[in-house]
Amino acid sequence: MTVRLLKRLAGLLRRSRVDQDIDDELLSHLEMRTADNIAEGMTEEEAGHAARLRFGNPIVLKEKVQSVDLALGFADFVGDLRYALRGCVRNPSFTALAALTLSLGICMNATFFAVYNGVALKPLPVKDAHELFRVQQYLASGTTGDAQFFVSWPQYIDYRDHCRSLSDVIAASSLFPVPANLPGDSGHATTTLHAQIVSANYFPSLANGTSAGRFFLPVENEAGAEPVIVLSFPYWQRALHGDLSIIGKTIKVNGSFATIVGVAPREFIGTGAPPLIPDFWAPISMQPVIAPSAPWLESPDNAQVQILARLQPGMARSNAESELLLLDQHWRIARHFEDKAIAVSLWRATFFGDTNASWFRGVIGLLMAVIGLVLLIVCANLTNMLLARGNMRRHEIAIRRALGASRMRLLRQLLTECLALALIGGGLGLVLSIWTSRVLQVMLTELVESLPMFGGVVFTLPLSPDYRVVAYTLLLSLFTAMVFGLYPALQFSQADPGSALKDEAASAGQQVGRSRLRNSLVGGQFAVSLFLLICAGLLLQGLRRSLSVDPGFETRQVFTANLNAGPNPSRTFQRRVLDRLRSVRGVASVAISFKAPGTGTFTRPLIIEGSRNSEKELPGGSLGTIVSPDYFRTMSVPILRGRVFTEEEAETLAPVAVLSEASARMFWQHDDPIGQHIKLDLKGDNNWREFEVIGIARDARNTNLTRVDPTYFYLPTDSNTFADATILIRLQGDPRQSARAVADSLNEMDRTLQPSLLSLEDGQIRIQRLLTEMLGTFAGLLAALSLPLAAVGIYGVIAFLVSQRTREIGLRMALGATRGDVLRLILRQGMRPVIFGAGLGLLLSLAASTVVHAFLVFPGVPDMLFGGQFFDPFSFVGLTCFLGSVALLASYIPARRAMRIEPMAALRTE
Amino acid sequence: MARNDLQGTLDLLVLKTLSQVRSLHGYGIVQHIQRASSELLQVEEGSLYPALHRMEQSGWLSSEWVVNEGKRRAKYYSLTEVGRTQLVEAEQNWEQLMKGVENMLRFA
Repeated sequence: MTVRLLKRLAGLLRRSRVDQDIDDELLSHLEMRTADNIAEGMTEEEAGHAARLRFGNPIVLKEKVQSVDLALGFADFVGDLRYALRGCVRNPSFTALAALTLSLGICMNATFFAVYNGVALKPLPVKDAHELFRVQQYLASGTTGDAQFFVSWPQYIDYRDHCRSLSDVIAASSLFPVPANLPGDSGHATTTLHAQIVSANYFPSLANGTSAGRFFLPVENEAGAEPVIVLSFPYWQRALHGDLSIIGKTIKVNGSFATIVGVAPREFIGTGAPPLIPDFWAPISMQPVIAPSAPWLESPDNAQVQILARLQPGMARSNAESELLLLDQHWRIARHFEDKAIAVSLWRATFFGDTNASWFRGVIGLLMAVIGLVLLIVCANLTNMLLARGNMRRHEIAIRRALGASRMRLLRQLLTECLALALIGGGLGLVLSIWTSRVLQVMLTELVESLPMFGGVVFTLPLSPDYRVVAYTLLLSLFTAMVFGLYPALQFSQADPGSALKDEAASAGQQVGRSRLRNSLVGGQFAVSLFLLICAGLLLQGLRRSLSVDPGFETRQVFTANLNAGPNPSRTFQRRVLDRLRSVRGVASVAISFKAPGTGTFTRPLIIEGSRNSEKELPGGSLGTIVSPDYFRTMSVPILRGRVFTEEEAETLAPVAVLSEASARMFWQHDDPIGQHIKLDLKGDNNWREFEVIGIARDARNTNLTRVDPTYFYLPTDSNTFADATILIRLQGDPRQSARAVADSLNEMDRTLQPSLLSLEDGQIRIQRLLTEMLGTFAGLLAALSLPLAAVGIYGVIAFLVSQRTREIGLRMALGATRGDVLRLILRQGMRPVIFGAGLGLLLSLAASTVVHAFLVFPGVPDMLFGGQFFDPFSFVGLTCFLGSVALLASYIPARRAMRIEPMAALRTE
Repeated sequence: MARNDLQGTLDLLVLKTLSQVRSLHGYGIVQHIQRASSELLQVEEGSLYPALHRMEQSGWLSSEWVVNEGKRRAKYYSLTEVGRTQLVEAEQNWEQLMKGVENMLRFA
């Protein structure tokens, strides 16, 4: 079978040779026959004539033989394509409009895919990237996020030395900001650089050569080795202007000297997850300088490095995964660790880490579906255009059928025409998307780099297209061609040659079928546009609300302080740090909280005790946090009733709780909440603890900025430890000055603390606002694109209708119909599918609203409308009217043309 | 049931010819069938060449260009192993068909 196929393909490639072969063979046959005829006594002329006579038409015979040899029909396809392209050139306005609308739809999809590709598919620009894997652990404690990718240095060593199915086991830390002085400056111009600590095999396994100098040596991997660093190419260019003499010079890092031994290659941007490019790399021996805390080499519980590795040749990924799991379990059991891995996965090393999580895939799928809707509108437009144009081509097609083209043949040709259109549109879309990806890349990179929480790290977002994007666009174009082209092609290829050639009236039945389809296409387009428009309207309202939203606590004067206190700081040390903080001028108060607002919270099952000793469990549980007594003062969260915790209650972790206003209202509608009891299952192990309500705090948006927490509890914690919690500092006066004073004071006390202070406003709040803005912009863009597309679609159908009915309208007018009658007739025709579409679109939007609204029963789910109404009548009714009037306008333009028809002129045409 | 049609018959004739003569060009096949059937069967060139090419594509025949005595180039066809099994099958088919037709004609 395959041999046959190959033979045919080979024959195809040498079509001219095959032609020659057949010619020769047939010619030799003719000659032999002629020779025999002469031998039988004919004259030469008679002999040749008789031979040819018997032989029949040589061209027909040749074609027949050829069609056997080229049975795959690919050569036909090339011919069809050429024919189709000629058709495109002959019809420039049609082609341009079709290709342009297509390119818009494809560009959006391709750009989105380019983003997905850059985030989740593209391999890192390192040596043999397709063989490089990132190790992700699934822990028994259910920890998610970055923690799944990090292990301690001793565990890395264990993996490196004992895992037989892996080679090149590499460790890389996250980035650490460190104060540094460049060679040659006097020590005053301290800048903050970002450093990454890596294993010695990092560069040899990942980079192809250096830009200058050398990489780390194995001995430099050991404690006490000479301090050396390798610069990143962007930093070398930016700060040192590519100065080669820098190699061998010393740089002052965090107060101690290190020698610059090399510069990484230009394309080497680190190992991602997230794709922040460090300014320099350092071996583990430099860890006490860069990340001063307990030495990593000796802290098996300090997870600081992520692991990259390659498989041994011939090893399956699953082998390595189970071996790593086994190693992890042995290693942790030997050290009596509580937590352990229950699964280990190897993922291809891409720019971002956790792109295999199901929530991420879900979001991507959803967004893709929404963007796909725009392409669907485009397809509907094209189908309509093809149907309208096909009507004009009925004669051409009928003639081709009459001349003997089979239905299959015509179908193939018509589909090839759609393919040609789709390829032109797809190509244009690809070019456009390369440009939009570039713009997006610049915009997003600047956005991320401007975020204070990243502190000026160089961020890289690889959105440039690669073969995947091209392949995706190509496939999408082919698919689109099928979607918009199949129905028209099926319709026209079936045209009956007789009736089509005779008169238009004969095929009236088909006409009705087609116009019904056109109407439902317009209706569908309208529905999808309305749906997108309403979604955008609702989201933009959310965006508007988000600008004036009050989180319920102070965000500008409150800072989180991130300290590097090592894995197990002593209680006295923690107390000293906090006392120091409280003593700094400019600090109003210091509080401890389980997490900063917006950075995560916990949801716990909760039982409400009723006044008559009845108990009921709160469906979905309640959000809550653990805070020190100072929290309410620090955050400016007023206590409406009762009191806050006393220091004594905080120290003894007494069973008392402060609830939010909303919780009290929900739990005990009319009764006094103070003195009531709730039960909480804090560890999720069905071990319920009872708490007495001592105070009611004003409602706030602790969990996320988008909504007031439906229910919220505050439990007490000690004000003098911060090891597993966040320090919140309320500053007075100019917050920036005060923040510097705090950092200086802590540095004075202990250099290893490396405090980084960030206001709540610049942290999570900013990110949440950004997300809202991005979502709103995205929805607005989609709606803005789909609106003109739908308008063009409606216009096209009505215009076609008018052109088809010119004669009928002329007749009506001749018989006494007024212009108003004609206008009404046309508009009625045009509006019928629109009304149908409006109904469908409203239903769709209502359904979507209902589903999204239903998710809000989970207390932690963000409300992108910021408390706006999900069934907001302005959005629903107003936008329907708006889109309706656009449709009315789109059909009014051709309808006006119909009104101006001169009855006599119209009747005379044709 | 015997499967048969006109194309099947032409295939049978060509395959049988090549099993009798080993290697022959298209014109020779026409002549051979004519002679061997005592001038009863005349093969149309119009169906012969498409059939030859089809059988070659299916791997029943192989071909090669040969320059014969008269300095004339001609494409010679011969049977392949697959073609040989195909011939056996075609012959069985044909015999069954003949038997069936005979029975039918003798039916009283």
